Amino acid sequence: MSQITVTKILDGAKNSVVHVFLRGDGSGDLNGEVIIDPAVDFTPPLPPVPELRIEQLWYDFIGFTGYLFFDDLVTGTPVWSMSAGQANQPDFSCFGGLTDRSDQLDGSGQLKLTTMGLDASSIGTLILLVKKS
Amino acid sequence: MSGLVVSKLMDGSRQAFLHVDIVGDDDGDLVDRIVIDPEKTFDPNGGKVPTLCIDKIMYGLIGFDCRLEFEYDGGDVPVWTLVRGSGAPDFGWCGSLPDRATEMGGSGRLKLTTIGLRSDRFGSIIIAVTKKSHG
Repeated sequence: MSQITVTKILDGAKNSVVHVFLRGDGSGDLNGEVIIDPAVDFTPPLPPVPELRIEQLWYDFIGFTGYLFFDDLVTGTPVWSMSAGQANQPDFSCFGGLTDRSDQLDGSGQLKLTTMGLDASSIGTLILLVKKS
Repeated sequence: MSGLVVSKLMDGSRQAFLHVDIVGDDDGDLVDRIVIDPEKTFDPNGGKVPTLCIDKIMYGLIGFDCRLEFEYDGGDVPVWTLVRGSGAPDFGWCGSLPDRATEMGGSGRLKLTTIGLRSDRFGSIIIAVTKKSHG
């Protein structure tokens, strides 16, 4: 069984909700796992940059931490650092959401997740509300 | 790549939102690193340099704490302490946290110091500020 299961809960014309379930199996951390790829995950597909805005996150990680970033050719465009051990619901809607600030030529638009400390005893859930620009 | 990266999410005439990404390395803590310099960070608005008010902070800090201060020659003025973990302190209820040092000749710069930053630690901060013109 994979350590990560990504499920679309809603895929509307303007909004999408994605559920991410993580359960460690001892194979180690995820490194840049693709959570959302605008080119394949939506109907119709979206062009890469800057099409997605992350409006809200809900997460609760047990035993590990996570880092979300938008893919680009250099180091990735940082999105958010997610701590362990407490339920969190950061709401970015007050400024229109976190956009992909990658250079339009460098960014693929993919939203990626890296974990730290994911082991066989770790479990976590992440829900993302994204707006399509 | 390690260090501190600040990017503007929104820069309006009265409000601005900044994203701060922190990645630790073997050099340890960041000390008095400039996060916002009102003279350089914002787009020019009629040549006036704004004074800052901190409206809200959202953060996720993995394994370290942070301290925010306004720069002042006579001793930096503390703004807020961010404890490791997550939080979203909103200062709107008390009229926001103004830079009280500018009136005394402070530079208006907002500085960040980390406590406990190491190579496997990282964090994100969003700072919402109101700009107040003073001449």
